[in-house]
Amino acid sequence: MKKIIISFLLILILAFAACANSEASLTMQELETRQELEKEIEANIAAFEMTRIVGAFGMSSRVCYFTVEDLLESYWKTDLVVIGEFIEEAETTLQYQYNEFFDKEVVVDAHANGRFLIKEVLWGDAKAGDIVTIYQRYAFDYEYNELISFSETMPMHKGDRWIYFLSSMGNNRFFITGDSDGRYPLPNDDIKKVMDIFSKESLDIYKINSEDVQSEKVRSEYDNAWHQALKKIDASVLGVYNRYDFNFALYAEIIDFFNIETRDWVNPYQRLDAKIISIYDTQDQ
Amino acid sequence: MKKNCFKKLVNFMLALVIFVSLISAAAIPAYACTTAHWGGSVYYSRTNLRIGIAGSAINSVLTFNLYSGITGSGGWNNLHSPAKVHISSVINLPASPSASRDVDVVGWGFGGGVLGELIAYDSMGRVTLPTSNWSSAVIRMNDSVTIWGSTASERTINARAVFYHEVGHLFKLAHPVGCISLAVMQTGGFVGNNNKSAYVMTHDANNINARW
Ligand SMILES: [Zn+2]
Ligand SMILES: [Zn+2]
Repeated sequence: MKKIIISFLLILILAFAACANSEASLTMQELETRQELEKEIEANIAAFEMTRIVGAFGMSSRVCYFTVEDLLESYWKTDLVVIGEFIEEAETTLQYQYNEFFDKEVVVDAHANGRFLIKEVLWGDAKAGDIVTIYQRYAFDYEYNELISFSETMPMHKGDRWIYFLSSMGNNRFFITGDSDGRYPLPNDDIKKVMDIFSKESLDIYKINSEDVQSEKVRSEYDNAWHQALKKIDASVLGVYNRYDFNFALYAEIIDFFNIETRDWVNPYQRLDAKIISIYDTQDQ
Repeated sequence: MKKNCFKKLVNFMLALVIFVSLISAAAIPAYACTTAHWGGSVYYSRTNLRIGIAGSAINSVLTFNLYSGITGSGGWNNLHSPAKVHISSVINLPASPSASRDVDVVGWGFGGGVLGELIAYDSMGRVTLPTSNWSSAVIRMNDSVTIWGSTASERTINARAVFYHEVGHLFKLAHPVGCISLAVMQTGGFVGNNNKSAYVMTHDANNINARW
């Protein structure tokens, strides 16, 4: 993973001022578990060592979701809300098309399909033990050793566990409702600590009506908490390249709505990619 | 779209009429906003931008008129004097396939709920970052007619806003972050979603001014 980290830092240094990350303190037991998992996951993703990550997702238009109700019922309806685990590495394909300007084939899209074992159904017509295919728009370019992503969510890895809001594409295949608005880590101690920064009031107001100018003051409070939180957690734990693509208010509501608090799973993602830094960190600051 | 969403949309449209009529003088709350734009160079003349509309990007919702309207009021032209960005022509490619232009708009069958997208290439023809130097770019519009809304007028309003939004990206504007100002560059897919406006707003104009 070093290569990815280095290139991300390079991109950062070239484009923006770097930002500091603090490592959360760990108990001995946590540390051992982490080291164990690191070894395990390292083997799984060794094939994904890329020299460069091309995050093309900042230029896509999609619907934004602010409440669980929105996610379930508005625009693209959610067909399934599930907790589960990827049972194999996702298959990725780059799509090429002839381009007149360059007089050669260029990449025009990227597709990844991952097989996901449902452990628990929170919403919709499925059952534990079902396997579904989850679609995301990214792929590995082995010719140039790049990861090209049109999706705000990080790649799907074998063993990763997530809460997913999924919209059907037919044939037992699903895309994430609202991209990064629809995939969440299972809460663990690190994430819970960060959640504590947000006051209940600011979370409530934020999700009720983000358009209401009257709520600006509380919205400002929420944003301040958000900035504090983002100093304490790596975007990769949240499964996004860009920290600002993670909506804490919605996450808090989801945990509450589906009573997810009690699950003791952890998302192994953070064990490995913990130092990947958002490439758009300093935007609009 | 749900009933209360529709209500919101109607309210929003009413507010919008007021906003648009005041566009030159509107004092939109500039809460927590500074600038939202990307670095890197562009390959076209930004005061003489020529946009080609491919046949694949034209259907009953995505009409040629919807695209060509971008040179009129509510678009990116005439925001500043002298102009910092200016779209000089929108070309109907099925009618004039060999017309020279700087960027093509094509229809695209997106998997995964994407409405529109700008894809930029570096000098080698490789997909590149929003923040990098661009040598070429393509705007892609979702070619599904039904995804744009439940009524004809809704579809037009939403599709137009996405097109104007993608052209904003072409001018190196980013999505505002932590900011509730009405802007065509807000992340929301549809008009009214996350304070996305139907037309170019003061906030967008300010960002053009800051970038260029
Ligand atoms: Zn955008
Ligand atoms: Zn702003």
